[in-house]
Amino acid sequence: MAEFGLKKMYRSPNGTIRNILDGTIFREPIICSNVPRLVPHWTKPIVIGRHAYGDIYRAAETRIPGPGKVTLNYVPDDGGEPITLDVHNFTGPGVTLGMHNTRASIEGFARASLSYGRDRKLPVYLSTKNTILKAYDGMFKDVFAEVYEAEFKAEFEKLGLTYEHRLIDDMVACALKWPGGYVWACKNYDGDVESDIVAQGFGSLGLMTSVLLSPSGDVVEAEAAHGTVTRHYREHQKGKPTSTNPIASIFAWTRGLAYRGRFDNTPDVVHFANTLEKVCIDTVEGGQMTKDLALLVGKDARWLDTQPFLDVLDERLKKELAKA
Amino acid sequence: MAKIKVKNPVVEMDGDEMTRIIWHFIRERLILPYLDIDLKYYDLGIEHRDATNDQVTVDAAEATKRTGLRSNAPPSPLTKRAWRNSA
Repeated sequence: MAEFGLKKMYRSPNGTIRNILDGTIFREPIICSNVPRLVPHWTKPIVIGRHAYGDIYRAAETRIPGPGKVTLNYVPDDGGEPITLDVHNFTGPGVTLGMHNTRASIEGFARASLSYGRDRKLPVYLSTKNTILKAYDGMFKDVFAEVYEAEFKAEFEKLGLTYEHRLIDDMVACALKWPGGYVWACKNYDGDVESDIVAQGFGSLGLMTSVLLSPSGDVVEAEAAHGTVTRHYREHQKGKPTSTNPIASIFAWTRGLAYRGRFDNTPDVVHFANTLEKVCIDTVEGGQMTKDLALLVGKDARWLDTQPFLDVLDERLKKELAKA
Repeated sequence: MAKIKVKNPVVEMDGDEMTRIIWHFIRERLILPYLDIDLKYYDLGIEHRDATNDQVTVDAAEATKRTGLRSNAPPSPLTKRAWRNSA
């Protein structure tokens, strides 16, 4: 703030953009076979889709000072019969909360998750704890099932894809066991936790993409999941070359362009995007990479500065495109 | 080699610090030499967000939504922490 003399502190624009586009964010790792992963058998991407509305993030909560009764009340606008639930009869101090979600938001989340799976040709899993929260998580399970049946089942079956609901405890065990290759639609808190576990397991935020998809599936925003790499920027400002990994930013372009090409029905644009992605992965797997990846690969791995690395990518891209 | 024609426009959102530098490198080296593309540019760098009272962020998102086109955005969090808190 002091550096630029800004009027106020600004948060990441992501929240603003996400609210306006009403989308779900999907984080997908880029897999390079020679970059070691903390979970070595995660050989295919685990895509986390996090429901970005409600639950504990918009809860009303309070401490309870002493003995007393907590109830939950619903008063219908249409003058219908109110509902009152007993939450707890406190005999001493404690805590309580009320939280919510909306059917409209859950429907949007379901459509975005199933669209992402269809577009990336990946099966989709939804995790909840519907055995305990029969009404609350039950609505997530039911809405996903309804949206799938009505809008996605035919396409999924044609593509050989599946949709399944799983209990969250079963799903985390499966996630650790399985090699990856699926979209995991997570409730808000689960997505908060699981996206960090998965990012860590795949080893590098420098290889993590982020795509925001609207419920209608026709508005897409793609970006790198990592931050602004301030430490490298300071070096760059001093005129020093840096070895900054551009791959997640390149994939922001390619993921966006692939969607653009699909929406426009221009396969050559999709081909360009896919080719550039392949070039990035082939280059790293061929042993040419930036410092962040070289440090993961091993003590003896060599690295290139940003510009020479981009030179290599450009050269390889030209060659690959000439093949077609 | 003839450039590949991208039929409809793409919203481009520029960001901050090193990712902004890298973003420009990528655009000039790996995108524009190959694609004939109409980029609708929005500068979401912190200085321009400040100058517009962050209206540019809203405009960029509205442009993306209105035209039903997809956009490309580099990350523009001020810091890792700001980004995580906004999640």
